Amino acid sequence: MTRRLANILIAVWVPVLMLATWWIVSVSSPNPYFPPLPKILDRFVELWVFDKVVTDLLPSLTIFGWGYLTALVIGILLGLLLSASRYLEAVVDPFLQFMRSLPGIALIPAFIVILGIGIESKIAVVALGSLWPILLNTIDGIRSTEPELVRTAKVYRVTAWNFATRVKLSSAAPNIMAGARVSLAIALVLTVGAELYASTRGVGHFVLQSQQAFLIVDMWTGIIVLGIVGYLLTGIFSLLERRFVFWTR
Amino acid sequence: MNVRSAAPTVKLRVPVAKKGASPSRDFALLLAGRVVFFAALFLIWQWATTATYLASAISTPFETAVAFVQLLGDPALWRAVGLTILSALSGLLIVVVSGVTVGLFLSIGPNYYRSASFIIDFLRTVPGLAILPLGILVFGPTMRLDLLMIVFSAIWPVLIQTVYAVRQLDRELIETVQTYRVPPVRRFFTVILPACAPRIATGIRIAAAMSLLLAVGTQLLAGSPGIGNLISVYQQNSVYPKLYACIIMTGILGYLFNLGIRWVEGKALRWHFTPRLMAEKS
Repeated sequence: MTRRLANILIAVWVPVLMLATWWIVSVSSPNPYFPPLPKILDRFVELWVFDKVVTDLLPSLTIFGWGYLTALVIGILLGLLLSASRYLEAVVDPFLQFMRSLPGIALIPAFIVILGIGIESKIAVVALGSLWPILLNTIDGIRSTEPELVRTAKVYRVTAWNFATRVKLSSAAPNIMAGARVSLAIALVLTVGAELYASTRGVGHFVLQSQQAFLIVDMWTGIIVLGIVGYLLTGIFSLLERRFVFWTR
Repeated sequence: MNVRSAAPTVKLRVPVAKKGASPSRDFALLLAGRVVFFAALFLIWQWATTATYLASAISTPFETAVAFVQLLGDPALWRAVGLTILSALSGLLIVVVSGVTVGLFLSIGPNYYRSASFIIDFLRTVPGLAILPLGILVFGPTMRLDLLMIVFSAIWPVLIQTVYAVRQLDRELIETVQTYRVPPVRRFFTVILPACAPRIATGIRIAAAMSLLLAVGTQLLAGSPGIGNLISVYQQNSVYPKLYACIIMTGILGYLFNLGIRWVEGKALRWHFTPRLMAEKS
């Protein structure tokens, strides 16, 4: 029993200490950019439980969701296609490497110009920016499928569809998951970035708007929301990952 | 990942050069393929500019190429590129020094990392740009803002990889060092740190990519000096050929930056036991 208690204490004392320090310091010092923590928390409950969740959080999550999903689907499909031919993969590789090193954020102005200020441009930015880690990792993963598996599948005359999904994708799954994890972080950053650059709705837009209106407390609540969303999404991803690749553990 | 088993080898279908094949012919085929591919891309791009409403939004490949050449002769661009690289490298330096230091500190004992693990796990999933509006208030659109954003986001890969590296140290290595009673300081610098180097290098590589990304992003969104700021300016003034040329330039910058980091990493770790390095290159 005390062992369990000790473990909980160890995990918890640093966050508690940091929160307490933040509370005390922000309440006592008059810095305008770091308002008192109790005020922030009150305002957080006022705004985000649950009014603004619909008006601001949902648009952001929509952008992120559609963008990330598109990147996943296209990345895996293209990865399957490209890994089928070594020649094709080698031909396209310089282009892929270039696109991978291009900071996705730099694409935001281009898409705003092409697709306007609405939700489509932001979904496009998120999708195109987070595509590359998934794509490259899928190709990598499929390419390193053990030759034994490939030959066994041929001997059993496995159909093309089954071969693609059960053999190639399954053995590439750990790589794909690693790429998907990186893409998740990129997609989050791009969603916030796109909203900060040019937007009319969304949590990122709310944070910027509050800052410009000098509503510092509101701005802080927005930042906290973004932090929580980031943490939860990554946590959900970890849970799903464990379910999909449990056999490699 | 492929373990060469000691079983009697089966004749594998190894790609053997066919009759009449040569390395130069393969290279020519590859080059031809790439030329065709890029030509196809340009054609699609050209078609996109003439079709539909996109005509006003995208500049033709030719216009963009002209703008690109103009940019190359523009000192403002090179100043921006220099500032961007300076931001990214300075941020990376701060991140590496602090990340490795804290990582090593947290590796002193198991409870050290366990104490900090919740904070680390939470803070590293916060999208770095969320802090930007606050940062603008505190630092204004300056290079210091870039550095703040870089440190806030890119420190985590380095920190985590350092902790991971120490955790994965070979038991035998540590015991050997203890047996020979090597003094702690010397033990640290000549044995432990070099053994951790490849994994830490992986973390640094990831952090380097993030540094450039955040430097450009901060410049784009907050207006601090650099190539991201140029992109934003061109977009707001609707100078589209220069806008697209600038974006392509940023891509090239990113590519060369990553290449440079890998080169430095290769040089720094050249002494390291190669098979282990190959296994760790991810």
